[in-house]
Amino acid sequence: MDFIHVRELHKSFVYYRKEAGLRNSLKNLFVRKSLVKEAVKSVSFDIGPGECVGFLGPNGAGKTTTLKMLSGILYPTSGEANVLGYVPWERKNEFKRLFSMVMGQKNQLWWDLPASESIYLNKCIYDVDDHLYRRSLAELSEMLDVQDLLDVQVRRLSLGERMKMELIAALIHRPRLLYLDEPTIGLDFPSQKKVREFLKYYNEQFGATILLTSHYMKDVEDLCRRTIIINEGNLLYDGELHRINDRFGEQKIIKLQFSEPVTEQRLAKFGRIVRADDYSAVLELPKYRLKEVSRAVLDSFPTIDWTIEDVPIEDSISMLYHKESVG
Amino acid sequence: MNRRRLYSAIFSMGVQHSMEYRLHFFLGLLGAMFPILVQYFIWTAVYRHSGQAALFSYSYGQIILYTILAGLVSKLIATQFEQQIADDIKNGGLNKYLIKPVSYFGYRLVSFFGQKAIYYGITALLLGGIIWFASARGALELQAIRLILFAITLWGALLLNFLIAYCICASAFYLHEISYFFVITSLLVNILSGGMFPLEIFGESVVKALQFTPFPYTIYFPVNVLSGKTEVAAMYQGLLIQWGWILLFIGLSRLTWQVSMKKYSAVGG
Repeated sequence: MDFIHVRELHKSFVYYRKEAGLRNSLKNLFVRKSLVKEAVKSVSFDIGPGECVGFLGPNGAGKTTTLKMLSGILYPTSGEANVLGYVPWERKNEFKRLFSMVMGQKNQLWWDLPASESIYLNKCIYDVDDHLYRRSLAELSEMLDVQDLLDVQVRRLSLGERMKMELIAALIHRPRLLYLDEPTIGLDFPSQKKVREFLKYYNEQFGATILLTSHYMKDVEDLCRRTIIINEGNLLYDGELHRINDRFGEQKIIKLQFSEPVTEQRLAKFGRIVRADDYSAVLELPKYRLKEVSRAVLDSFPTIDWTIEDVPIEDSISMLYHKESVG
Repeated sequence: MNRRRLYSAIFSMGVQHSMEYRLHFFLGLLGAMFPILVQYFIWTAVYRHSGQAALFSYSYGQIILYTILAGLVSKLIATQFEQQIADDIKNGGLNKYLIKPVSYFGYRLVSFFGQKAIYYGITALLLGGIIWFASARGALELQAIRLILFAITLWGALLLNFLIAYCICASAFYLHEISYFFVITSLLVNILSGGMFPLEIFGESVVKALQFTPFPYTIYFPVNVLSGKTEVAAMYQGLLIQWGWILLFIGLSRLTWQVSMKKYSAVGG
């Protein structure tokens, strides 16, 4: 049986529109035009135990709404989901003990008290055995290198330190499933790296299943083999991250450097010019033309260096968003 | 057993949290002094000019004692968590409790008691001093049974006021900007509870009508139990009614929150 099983999950919200200006505000006091926003439209996927899946999409795509339904915070409008054998929105305590959710933009720690207090509180909430608690706390705080900060008030910690404490608090009961909603948002690079390494370790060490949303491609590249991409509530892609390019007819990128100026006009017939100046150019072209074009540019231009690369994943994903919203 | 451990942890965090804001508490206490002082001068003037020994069935000494005790009790039972709960509802802070195996109600209640514990102790000391002073001056006849009942009804008042505030907080599910709403309701509840002045001032019929509401049982009743205004038989009856209200409000708060939570879930956070 799958760990997470989602079928045709759908969520719509009612909201109100107010046009700018005082007159419209007054009008809105009496008559409000209610509109329906479909945050998630018929999304289906399955996730197996121990998988680490990246959940991507532009802002407002429906990622957080989906996570909220899968954690039981929201009821769906229609569709079904089964997580670890439970229907999330029935909010059974047995289910709640099995997972954790970390939101980069929200904090669960008591602001005025040291993080150790909030972590201890979670130990009591999840009923963690004393011995296991001490071991987990020592292990997690050492991994994240924050042993000395456990007794410092949360409000005195930096953003990165706070996020590490959030992670410890969320993992103290060794959840089998972890929802991470932009866990590295606003962190500096070393902290981002540390958090990523830690999550990878946790995933491997405890076989925990992770569903991660992030706008930092590096997070997803480092942690997740599989990616689910949604936009405007629709599922656009579900598969391995590095195979996204396959969707675009196997495009390739050629980067060229010349010893003498070459005009764009002369390059145009070989492929789409991504960028070009007198002494260098970047071309995008279908994979099947690679051989022919490579030979031609080497022969006809004063080429001194060239490399062949895949289309960057960010570009593919942007194209994916764009294509779907246009088509 | 394990729940006991959880709640003692929440209680202890409440206590620690309140100690972070010691100054806040002492300023609050100081703030309570001003209305008491203002009322002291008003009542002194009123009694001096009326030429009567008792007004609204209170002698001068009794009214001053009432004012002081009611001021302290209102400060003690003040909840001050409405904003926090409203914020949790409006900005989705409630989510973090929804996904944990813990009840939000129990969490808030125990943490509230924790945050009040030290103040309860300090207020008890202050009250002790005032009671001693008042009885030495002859304004108060000290009886052990009244002291005990006062302590019991005070805990009841704390609980009842928490429940009333918790029910009012549920309105945050429906109204989006309610900070002023809370200012008004807490002021109104305080007046109706006898926190400003004895309810007799509003006239006999209002006092009678208010007896059918929970409000007098938070301030007016405990203070009168202590001061001796309430008859012995009425004390026990009042205690029963107070706990009746508490039970009723436990049910009511459960119900309002259950219904509202459904709405929260449907609209999103």
